[in-house]
Amino acid sequence: MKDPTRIREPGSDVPEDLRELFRAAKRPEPLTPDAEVALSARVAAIGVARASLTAKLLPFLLGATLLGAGVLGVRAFAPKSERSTTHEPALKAPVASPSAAPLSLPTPRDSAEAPLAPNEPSAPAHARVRVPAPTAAPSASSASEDALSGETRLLNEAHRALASNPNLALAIAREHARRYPQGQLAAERELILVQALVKLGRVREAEVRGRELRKTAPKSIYEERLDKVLRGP
Amino acid sequence: MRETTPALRRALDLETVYESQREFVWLTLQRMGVRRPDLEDVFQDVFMIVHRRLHTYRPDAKLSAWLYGICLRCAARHRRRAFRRRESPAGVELEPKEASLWQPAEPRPDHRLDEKQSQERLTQLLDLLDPEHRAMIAMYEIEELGCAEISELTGVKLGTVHSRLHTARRKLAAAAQRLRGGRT
Repeated sequence: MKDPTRIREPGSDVPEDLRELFRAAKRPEPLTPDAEVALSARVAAIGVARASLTAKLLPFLLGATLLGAGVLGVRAFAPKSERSTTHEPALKAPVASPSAAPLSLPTPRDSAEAPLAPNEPSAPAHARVRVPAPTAAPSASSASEDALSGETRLLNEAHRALASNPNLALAIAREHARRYPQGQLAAERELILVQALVKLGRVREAEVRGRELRKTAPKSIYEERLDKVLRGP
Repeated sequence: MRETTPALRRALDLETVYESQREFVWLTLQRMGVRRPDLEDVFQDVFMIVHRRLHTYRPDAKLSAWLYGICLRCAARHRRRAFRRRESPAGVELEPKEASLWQPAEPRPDHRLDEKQSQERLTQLLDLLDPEHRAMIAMYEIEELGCAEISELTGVKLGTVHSRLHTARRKLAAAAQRLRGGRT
């Protein structure tokens, strides 16, 4: 069976103005390293969300219950149309830490992008977890300590996951980036991201992130660690 | 649908599918009309379904063909949602701003701007097609894949590729005619 004449080719039976449009047509955009980083974290989050990641992050969520009041409503990761056939994480726990921004595990964003605002419309509804604001505003210093404590716990968990499950480490680091885009431990997080990417064989993406880290933290202790990570064993 | 063997299920996990097919899914969704900023969300939807339905994958089917079907469903669902939000002109009367794209363009000294306008017009036209026909047009007319190659990638029979292409081109020409008729 012979392929038909393409629209943009001479001899096709379409009007000239339509042919002109196809001559200017753009091909689909290939995956860029940045998009790959974002997508791999999203897919990693799918794979671990219902089991290990949920389990690992549960202590952080429950730990926050000691600090105050509020209700955490976890919406299903599955699209609405398919929720009825899946087991949904339906956690309900009081939360009050001001640093506990809405948790959105399946949709971690690239830290190079603007930070995800709470309930940002572009985030899919099925992938959002909403945490209402605390009823009483704590002081700035305690908020800062809480944030640092939250950052530390997340990154410790990411660090522990590095050896056995780099996908999980990537997802947790992404969650850190989303919660604390300007966090005090942002450089440490970026290093973990680079390490996880190297372990996943995504060296090109790791190098891109490494270059960014070098720019934001020049002549820091991370330079030497980055060199080691990117040079390999 | 016949289930895979436990050995294959072990071998074919989510990560393996992602590693080998992420580029295909990324391109396929764009061919079906999904654009940024929604592209990453719909991509994730595809892999959520892969995660849940991997046990139903038949080892004798081509993986890209199986994924193509999932992409189609996700793209169609996305299109319906976009339609409800009236973010897409597909199937609805064009908004004044959209219709103005089809007004005769002023001659422009800057060729790049002209090209951009052509691209916008084409996107608008392609959005009038359903994801299946849109993908066929994108692969054949824009990326210049052969029909046999499309058939191999998507698992759609060669004769069906031809007939879908024919239908898509007919719909496209009719839509262009309709929009052209709206010119003042």
